[in-house]
Amino acid sequence: MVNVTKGVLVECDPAMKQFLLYLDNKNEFGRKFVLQDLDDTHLFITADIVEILQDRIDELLDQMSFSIAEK
Amino acid sequence: MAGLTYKKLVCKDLHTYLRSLTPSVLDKLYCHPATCLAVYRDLPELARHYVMRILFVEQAVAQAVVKQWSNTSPEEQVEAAAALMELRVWYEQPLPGGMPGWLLNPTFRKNLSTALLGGGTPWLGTKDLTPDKYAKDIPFLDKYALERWECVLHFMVGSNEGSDGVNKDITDILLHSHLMRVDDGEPSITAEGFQFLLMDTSSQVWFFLLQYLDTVQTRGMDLVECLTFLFQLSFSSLGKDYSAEEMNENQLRFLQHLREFGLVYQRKRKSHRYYPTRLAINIVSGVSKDATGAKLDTHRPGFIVVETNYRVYSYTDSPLQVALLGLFCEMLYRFPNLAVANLTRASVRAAMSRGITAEQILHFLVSHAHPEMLKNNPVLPASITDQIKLWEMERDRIRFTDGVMYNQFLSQADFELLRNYAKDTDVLVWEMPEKRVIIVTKAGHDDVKKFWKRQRAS
Amino acid sequence: MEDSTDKGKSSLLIVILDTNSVWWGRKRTADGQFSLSHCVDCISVLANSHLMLRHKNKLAVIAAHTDHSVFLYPQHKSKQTHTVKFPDDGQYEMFRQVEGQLRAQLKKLIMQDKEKVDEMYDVPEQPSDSLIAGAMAVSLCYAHRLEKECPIGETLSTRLLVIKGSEDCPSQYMNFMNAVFTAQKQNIIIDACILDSDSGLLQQACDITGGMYLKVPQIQGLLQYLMWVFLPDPSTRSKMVLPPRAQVDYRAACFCHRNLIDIGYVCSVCLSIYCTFSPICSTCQNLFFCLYSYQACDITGGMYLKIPQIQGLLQYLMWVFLPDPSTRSKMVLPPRAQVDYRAACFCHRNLIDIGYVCSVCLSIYCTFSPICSTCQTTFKILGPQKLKRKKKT
Repeated sequence: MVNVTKGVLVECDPAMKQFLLYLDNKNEFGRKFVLQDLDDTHLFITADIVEILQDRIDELLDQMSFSIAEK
Repeated sequence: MAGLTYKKLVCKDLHTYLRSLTPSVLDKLYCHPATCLAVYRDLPELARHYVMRILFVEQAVAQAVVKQWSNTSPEEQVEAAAALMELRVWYEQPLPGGMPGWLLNPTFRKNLSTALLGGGTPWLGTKDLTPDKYAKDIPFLDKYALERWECVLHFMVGSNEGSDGVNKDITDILLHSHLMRVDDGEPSITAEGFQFLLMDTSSQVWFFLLQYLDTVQTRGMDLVECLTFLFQLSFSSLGKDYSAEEMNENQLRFLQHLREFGLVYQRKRKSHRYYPTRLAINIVSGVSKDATGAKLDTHRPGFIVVETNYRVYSYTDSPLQVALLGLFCEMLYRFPNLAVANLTRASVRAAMSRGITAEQILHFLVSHAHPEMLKNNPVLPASITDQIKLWEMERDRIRFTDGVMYNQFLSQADFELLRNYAKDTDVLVWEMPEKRVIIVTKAGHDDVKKFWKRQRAS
Repeated sequence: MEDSTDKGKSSLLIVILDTNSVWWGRKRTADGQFSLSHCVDCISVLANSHLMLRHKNKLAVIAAHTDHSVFLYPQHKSKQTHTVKFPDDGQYEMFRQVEGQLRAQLKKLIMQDKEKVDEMYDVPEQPSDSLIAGAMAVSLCYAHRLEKECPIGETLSTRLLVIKGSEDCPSQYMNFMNAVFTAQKQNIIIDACILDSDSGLLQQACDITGGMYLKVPQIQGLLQYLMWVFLPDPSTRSKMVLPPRAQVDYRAACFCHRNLIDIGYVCSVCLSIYCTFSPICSTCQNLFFCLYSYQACDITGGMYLKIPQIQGLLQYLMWVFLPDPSTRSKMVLPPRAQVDYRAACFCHRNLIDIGYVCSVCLSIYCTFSPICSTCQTTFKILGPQKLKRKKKT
């Protein structure tokens, strides 16, 4: 018996994976999107969430970066 | 994050370019000493010594013997031998005893030794001329070449300065090479074009010429003739005048094109003498093989100073250079001979979204670094180099791959069977034997599914 | 296809050609096959092959003549007499220029020699050795200059190739070794291609700097040897199978007579080497036996005091030796003692009032000896009979 699921493989660093799991647990997008937690650096998620997710991550990275240059 | 991936602009080196030519064209090229010299210099170090050792040996040399000449790794030996094979510098020929041997291409041998020792017919244009009453010195030629070439670049970035000198030939080549495309009847720069702008001048010229050579046949000119002339030009001396009298119609046309690009200086179109400029000289070996290699524009001192606080000072009055800097920097102040800019995350990311890579940015900064900067080792502050690379890595911190996951296999054997099948058909994206999970591409899914059904049926 | 390290790297080859007219003349008469012009042919092919290897490669050729060394290539711009003409055949312009200049300069050198000989009625015997050490020093200076001029970001690796036929000259030992160690310090490799008999000095030079030493077994094949062994630059050499290192003759030449010696005397201060014992080191002037201290005090302007009463040592020390030299002039101190300026003879180390002094090296002897033991000069003025008579009495 084999289970077949369509989706998107996500490859990222462990920290980013934890962030994705956090978003999933908190139901940030109103639903669960992680289909399978594969290993430290891989997740399998639903395909339709990818775009929203990208925006969200961009937002996060923008928040995390600060202006290094002095004006 | 995983934005549009742009095609990275690949600048073929001479070796790759020659390899793409047909054997008959190569053989014809070897009929001139200049080409042989250029090809010889482009060979791997080991191969160059191989050639020197058998240059005066007129028969095939056993491959086993050649192998014994060096004690380096077999890969390097194979690489050297392969490079010679690919360019038809030598080819296999069995020895009388049946042993495999190498025989130097007789045309190549003859013309390389001509270049080295003399004999044969003189090169084109090497006729003693009466002294030129308008003789030009090297600084003049440098200035001229740079002006001509910057015209092309100005035209690409669409600034008005001096772009009137750009004629249809140049526009055609820019369009042909996809450095520019026509939007609403006006040519505008493409992502590849941006990458092109950040290359150092000699790589730019070489890339441009390759594109030009692609089109020569459609112009009714002979590729071999053009290449031979180009190589010969690359071995001429700066500041010396050469005669154009013995050139035929096609060569004269080629010369006119080179004049437009700034590779040669001719006072008047009908003038019978021409001066090669620094852009033309040594053009073939001037191509940097890797983008990170710190190679300098010999004819123009560097002007960029980068500080550890991400500030970039550019001591230049050229609007073009400032515009190039503006591709990946946030401009702050502008003075008559100095522009100050900041490298910021936003500006670098904006450049990257245009298809410019971190490597290209760093290469640009290094190759235009101010002489004072060059005294540092490494030239750029390590923090800047790392940060720019980090910004690039940040862009693909997450990689998304569409796929189909197979899990919950009942037995290890089933898992391995399916995995091996996916692997063999090259659709496997990821696997994890411990949890018995495989992910295959969407395209491969149907095939794998069918295979699985067949397996279960049998 | 070149590795990335290949970029910005250039290699300077300095060829030192031994142009000793005596050796080449003998060679020519002994073996009609091989002449200097043949050798120059080979060298110009090697030089051009070196230039052909890489665009940035540089070249210099220096002739080590009997009494001076001359740059054959490159030529200083102001000295270039003829305008460079285009080759009339298919040779690469630059190669033609190198070859032409080599020949022209060498011809000039030989013609100068000939003129000199023609002018003189009585031709002095030309030394059969060449100024290799001088040429090496010149080339090291040249290499140093080029390295300084090298644009930032580029590296220049230099090597010397000495092509030598004439015999070693021990009198150049010091200069030669100095040049070799300088080369070692500057990371310059010295290669040697020997046309005639083995050269101990060059063997050492090659061994110290990590270069190749090759005595050409068959001089007719010189070009092939040059191309095989000396064309690859040091970084490539590790990849090539090349002749193994030769056994090195590490004998040094003594500083007194420039002979190669197996065992000798070494000055404990400056490590100068002597084949015979000498009481004073000629390099650092150190005396190997106790110099009478009052001489020392007198020469250096110090105080000499023989303590009359040893019980009062402290008092003497405090009074006489405590003041430093600048204070001493202000103090009343014991007067200078009469200095005994007698020297010790070199033969028996006795202090003598009157002795024999060698007219060449000023060595002192208490008895007459027909040969100076320091400089080996034979004093021919005294006949052997006189000497015999003296010995009998």
